[in-house]
Amino acid sequence: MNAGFESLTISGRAALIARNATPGLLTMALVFLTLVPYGIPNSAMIVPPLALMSVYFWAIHRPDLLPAPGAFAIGLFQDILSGGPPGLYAFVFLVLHSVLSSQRRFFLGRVFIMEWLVFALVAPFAFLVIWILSSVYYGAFMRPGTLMTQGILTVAIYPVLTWAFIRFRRLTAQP
Amino acid sequence: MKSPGGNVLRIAGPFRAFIQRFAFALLVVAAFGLMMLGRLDNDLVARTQIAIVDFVTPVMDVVSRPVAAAHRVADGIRDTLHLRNEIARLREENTRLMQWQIAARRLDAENAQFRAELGVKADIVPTFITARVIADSGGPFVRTILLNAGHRDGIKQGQAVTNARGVIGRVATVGARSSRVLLLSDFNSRVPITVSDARYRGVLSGDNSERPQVVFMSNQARVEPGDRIVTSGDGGMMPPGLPVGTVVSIKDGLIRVQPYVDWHRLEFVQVVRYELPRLQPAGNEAPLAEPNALTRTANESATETEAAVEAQANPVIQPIAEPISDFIAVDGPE
Repeated sequence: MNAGFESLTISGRAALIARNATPGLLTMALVFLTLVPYGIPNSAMIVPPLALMSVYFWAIHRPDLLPAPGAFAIGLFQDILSGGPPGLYAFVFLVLHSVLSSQRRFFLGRVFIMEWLVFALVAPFAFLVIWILSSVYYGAFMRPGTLMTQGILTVAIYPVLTWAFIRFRRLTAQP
Repeated sequence: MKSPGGNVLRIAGPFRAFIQRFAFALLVVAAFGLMMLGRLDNDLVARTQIAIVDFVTPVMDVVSRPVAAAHRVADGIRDTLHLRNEIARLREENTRLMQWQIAARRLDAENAQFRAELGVKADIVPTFITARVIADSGGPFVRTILLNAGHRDGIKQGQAVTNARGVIGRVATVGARSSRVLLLSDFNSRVPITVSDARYRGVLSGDNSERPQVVFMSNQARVEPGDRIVTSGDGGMMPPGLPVGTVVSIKDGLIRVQPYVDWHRLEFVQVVRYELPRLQPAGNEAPLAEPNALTRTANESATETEAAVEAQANPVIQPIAEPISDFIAVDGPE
């Protein structure tokens, strides 16, 4: 993609950079959206980690545009803004990205349901890791509390978010 | 294999894989390193966190506004729908509050008279900084909120945060234009409290549930469901007497408190600026009644201050009443 970069006009370059930055910026925006005070009872506890879905999606579809260090950086950003253990989401996003981007052949030519099913398996695992690491970090057994609700919401919302991501992916795929 | 390009690829392929694996390992180590540093309250990590939060505060401020506006619209619609009932309810409440007002005025006057007779100096009157909530903590294991005001607005670490109903939590970290509030329900939250009528002291400790529990309370304390919990002012960062909540259950010595605050209706909150003069104790309320004695010029009050420090260093040995009389003697007739 970068081969013809030199030959592009300035506006062409800007458009290319904008397109290439789309997954990263989108994921950053989702971090902000996760943290907005929605005023719904317990919203802070049940709002799904939207960035997690974004990392999952882009790791499968365009890992070149959102590489592992990018996923790490966005995770770290989420950690810092949420005030939780620094490095927790960074670690989870990094592992999630590495596992999925290495297994992305599996998804080639398969229907969306498959991608969703795998997400429904992977997301609870990510939540489990977050729970265990949080408990270790705070040196105490954390009440799972609303973790289940959050997990179910996360899996349920994935198709909605994917619909939006696919629009953006088309944007990045254009020459 | 034959072409030079093939050779390059053959070398570059494994090399790239190696670099990727190395980068992965490095980042994993970095993540755990950060967690350990964070756990150890590393100053640099904390400062960097605050600086980044500060930097994105304007963005969060903007992003959170449409949601707040939507809520106001929804509230407006709801209010209009329930207008009739609401007016009736408010009328009734108004009548009741009028009676309370009369009672409060009478008690206030009486209290003022007693204070005058005893020569008690006025409490420090706390001032408030109103700030907007711009972010929640996105996760089940952290209960914090971000405010769009920081130390340039006068916010300091440890200050109490309240809304109209009662205490929400306390300021945990402060940036230039943002600050993070640790809510009462957070696992790390500890707030010194008293059970209001009996004055039993304890600490309200969060455990990520909606109802924090009271710890470090005397075994002799007789607490019952429905008792009011207020801040004790111990530690000197929070004024005493701020409403916190009511005792809802006592099981096996575990006292659970339902805070007054409605967690999901937090838009504007007040940070309580309350500064005791320095050399404050963490054990008795005596100097509260006499702040002036400690703020006078150094040479004038050096000896008294020393006495006060001594008195405060040994709160168990010194009867609590004694420092009060000392202070009154110091500042006595003027």
